[in-house]
Amino acid sequence: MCGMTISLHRDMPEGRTFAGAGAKPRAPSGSIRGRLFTKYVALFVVVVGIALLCNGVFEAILYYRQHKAALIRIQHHQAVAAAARIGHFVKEIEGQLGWTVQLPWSAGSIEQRRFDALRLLRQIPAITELAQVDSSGKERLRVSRLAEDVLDSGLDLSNDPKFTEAMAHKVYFGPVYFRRESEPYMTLAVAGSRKDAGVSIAEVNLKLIWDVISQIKVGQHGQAYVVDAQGRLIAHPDISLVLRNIDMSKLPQVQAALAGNADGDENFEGAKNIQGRQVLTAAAPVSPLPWIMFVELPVEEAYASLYTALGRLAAVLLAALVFAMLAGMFLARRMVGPIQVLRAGAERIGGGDFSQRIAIGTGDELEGLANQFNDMGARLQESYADLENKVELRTRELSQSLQDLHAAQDRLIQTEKLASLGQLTAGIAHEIKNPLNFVNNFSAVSSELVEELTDAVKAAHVDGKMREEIDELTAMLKGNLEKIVQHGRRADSIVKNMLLHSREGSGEHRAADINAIVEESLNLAYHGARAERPGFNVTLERAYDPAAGTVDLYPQEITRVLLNLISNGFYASGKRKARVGDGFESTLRASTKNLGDQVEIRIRDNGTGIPKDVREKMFNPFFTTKPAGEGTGLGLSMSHDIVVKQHGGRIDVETEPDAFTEFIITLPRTLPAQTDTGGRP
Amino acid sequence: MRRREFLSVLGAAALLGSKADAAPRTYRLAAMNPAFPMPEGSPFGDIIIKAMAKYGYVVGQNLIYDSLCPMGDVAKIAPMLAELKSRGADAIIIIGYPTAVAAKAIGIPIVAAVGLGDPVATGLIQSQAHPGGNLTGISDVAAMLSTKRLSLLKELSPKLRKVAMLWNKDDLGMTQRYATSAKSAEAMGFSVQALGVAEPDDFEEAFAAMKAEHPDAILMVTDSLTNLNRKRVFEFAAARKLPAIYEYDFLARDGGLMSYGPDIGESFDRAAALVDRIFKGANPGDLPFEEPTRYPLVVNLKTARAMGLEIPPNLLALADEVLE
Ligand SMILES: Nc1ncnc2c1ncn2[C@@H]1O[C@H](COP(=O)(O)OP(=O)(O)OP(=O)(O)O)[C@@H](O)[C@H]1O
Ligand SMILES: [Mg+2]
Repeated sequence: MCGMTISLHRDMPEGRTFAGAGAKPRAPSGSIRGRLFTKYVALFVVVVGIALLCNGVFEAILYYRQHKAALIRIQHHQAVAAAARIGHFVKEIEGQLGWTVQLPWSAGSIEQRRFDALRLLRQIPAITELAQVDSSGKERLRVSRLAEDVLDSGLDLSNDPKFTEAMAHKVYFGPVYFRRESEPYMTLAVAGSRKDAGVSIAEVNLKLIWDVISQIKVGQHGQAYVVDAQGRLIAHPDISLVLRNIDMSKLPQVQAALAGNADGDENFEGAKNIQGRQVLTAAAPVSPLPWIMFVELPVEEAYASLYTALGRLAAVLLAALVFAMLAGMFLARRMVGPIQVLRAGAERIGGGDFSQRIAIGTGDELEGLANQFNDMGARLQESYADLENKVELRTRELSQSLQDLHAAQDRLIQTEKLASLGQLTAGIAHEIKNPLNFVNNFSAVSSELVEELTDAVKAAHVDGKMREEIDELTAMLKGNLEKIVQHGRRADSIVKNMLLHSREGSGEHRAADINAIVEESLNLAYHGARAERPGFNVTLERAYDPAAGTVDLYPQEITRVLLNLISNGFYASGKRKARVGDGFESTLRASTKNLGDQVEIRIRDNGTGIPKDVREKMFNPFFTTKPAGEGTGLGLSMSHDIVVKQHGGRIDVETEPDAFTEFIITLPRTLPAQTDTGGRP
Repeated sequence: MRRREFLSVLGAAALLGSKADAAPRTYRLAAMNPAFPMPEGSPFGDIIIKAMAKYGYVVGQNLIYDSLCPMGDVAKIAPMLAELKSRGADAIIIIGYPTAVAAKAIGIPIVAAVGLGDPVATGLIQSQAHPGGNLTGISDVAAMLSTKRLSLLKELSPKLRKVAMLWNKDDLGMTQRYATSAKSAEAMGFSVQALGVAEPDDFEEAFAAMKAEHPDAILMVTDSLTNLNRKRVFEFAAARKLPAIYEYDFLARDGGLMSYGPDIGESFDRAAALVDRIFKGANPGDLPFEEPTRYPLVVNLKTARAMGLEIPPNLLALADEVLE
């Protein structure tokens, strides 16, 4: 696993943004990583931990057993040794007593025996009282620390077990008894090897065993004690316990020992001692007495080293577990790391970053998986690019269609607007026509009447000054009337135009030579303009397509359209000339072109051009930029109606301010079906 | 295994290693001998301090030793015990029956070391095994020992017929001891000259009585009164060449002819052991009375020679201590 490289996180800075929503699903990634990671670590730790734990527990149990066995063995040895010391203590007394029964009663004086007995008391502090009995069982001598010496008391002990037992077995150990209910005593009787030596009976103060028992060291806080065959405490380091004459047979360890297990390796674990402490007890018989030596050690002390060892074991186990955890983390990181890289890579690819490449160099299945991911990314990237191109294409097509649709819609709206305006103007014009006729007629008549008045005044006799005044007044009246007539005529022409605009039908339609119609209109307009303004001058250019042929149309209407367009051109170029000066040559050019089933007519001037704001409104009825009283603003409106509605053609304009304006009329060769009757809607 | 359990195991292991010792405490031990003072530096005081040292109590470190002495004035015993108590004594070692009687009411642990007599017989306690109350200590079978002492006197002077007994008749324990001794003396065939004394002035009277009646030996029952006047008794006995036996070894060492009785050193040693138990929290009423085990026979050969008295070799051979 040494060649592994994980480059995703290092190569890609965190701040990098992805196409689309690529960065969005990053939020839960931490927890996902955490889960997998902790799962791996936990699994590892559990597996290693169980192995360690099993081993540890096994070892601990083994150690515990061994330790306990050793402990029991040691304690038992201690008990045996302690028992031996007690046994030795008693044996020594027994041996000393033996000296007093060496000689037969027949030998030596009783005084000498008394002296020897007193010396024995001096030597052995444990003996409080010593009696000597002859072979017949008669007490011959008694010496005591506390009482007067007695010689030949005559006391018959021949049936006393002290005597009989000692005679029979050479030595007799009496039961333990308590003087004044507290001091433990025992009768020890020894018979001489010779029959006639008699028996020495000693009362032994067992309190002196205390010197022995208190010197027996059992651990640090352990102790040894001795119990007699009845379970009574006869020796204990705490002498006050002995003096209290305590019955120990209630303690389970003492019970078991009294029942005969004293010599067994049995260890009374955890039983409480007389002070209520939990102790480990071992027992051993005290030969030659029917006593039992107990050696006890507080459980805490006995097991202290065990606990230390177990604690050490636990520490080692803990350390091993920590190590396992670290190792688990390390391995899991090695395992989870590439998976993590894979996941992050897949996430980025999923987020739309197809250029993402996952770099894993572990040389195993994971690397294979990463390569497959990379292939997938490349494939996705290709198809994505393809798709994008197609979408772009379609979008362009769609926007084109939309634009077309908008244009059509605009035209339709314009057409509708113009149609309704046409009807309105027709109504208005008709209503205005009659009053206007009155105005025109009566102003003409009034003009004549003023002339008649002038004549009449000439004939009358009127003084000079008066005449002058009358002449002046009549002249003014006449002038006013002329103005009324002039403007009346103008209003009349507006109304006529309006009526023309709205008039239904305009003669017959027929197939007409388009070049001829254009030429006719051009001439008409030119001469009209010259007639109107004598200084008028313009260069006419003609570019007729011989193949223009004929078009089915209403010649009268189309002529009107052409006339209007041409006169507009004259006006515009004239206006430009007026502004620029003499160097300028007004030019107007008329051209035709065969477009197959359509014919195109172009009228181009080199005039002022049409600014954008004007272009937007110039097809509206009554829109004009000419000074008041000069233009009606109905020309282009009417032309549009005729070309578009009546003939199903198109009227377009191309213009550039201070350069040129070119109107383009495109007419179908045949009239559309709905306008076949020649009526305008 | 969970971490917490691990830690607890470790903690237990650590605890086993370092068991905290109880804070060292200084104890105050008082002592009262009604007969003669036993402060630090005096023979008895030093015996007590040495015995206490065996159990780990060192004056100036963890022990304060305090003592008072009424100099034989029985009336002063109770107030002095109260004084010792008010000075903060944790336990008082006492000597003598009257002190024990006064101390029983005081309420702090009392350990009687010497000279108590038979406490069950005098009604100080109910039983040796379970004394009850605030009193424990070393019981003294001195009364019983009288026969032994008388027999030792007889050993010294086989012609012994009449023995003078000197005791404090105001002391119930001593009176009892005298009564027992007198009874056993009579049982042994001796006549007894009873010389009960109540105050130092009575001694002259007693000496006069002895001069008149010519006893063969003296047996002195030791209490604070007789003890305070011991030298007068020694001198009288020496002057009259009267064999005398005393109860305690220190009396023989002090000039008495001989003594037979419990080992004072052992008694104080055991008393110190009981004090130790009491300091460690034991209730004195639960601590059984102990009996002495050793009864040394001490013979003062110097005194004997001064009196021109021949000590039989057998007696000398049996003596535990011979002062020359
Ligand atoms: N060739 C052109 N050059 C510059 N402006 C033009 C041209 N043709 C039309 N226009 C502008 O369009 C406006 C509208 O023209 P339209 O023919 O409808 O009315 P008019 O010519 O002003 O009046 P009328 O036709 O009644 O004399 C004109 O006022 C002018 O501003
Ligand atoms: Mg016009």
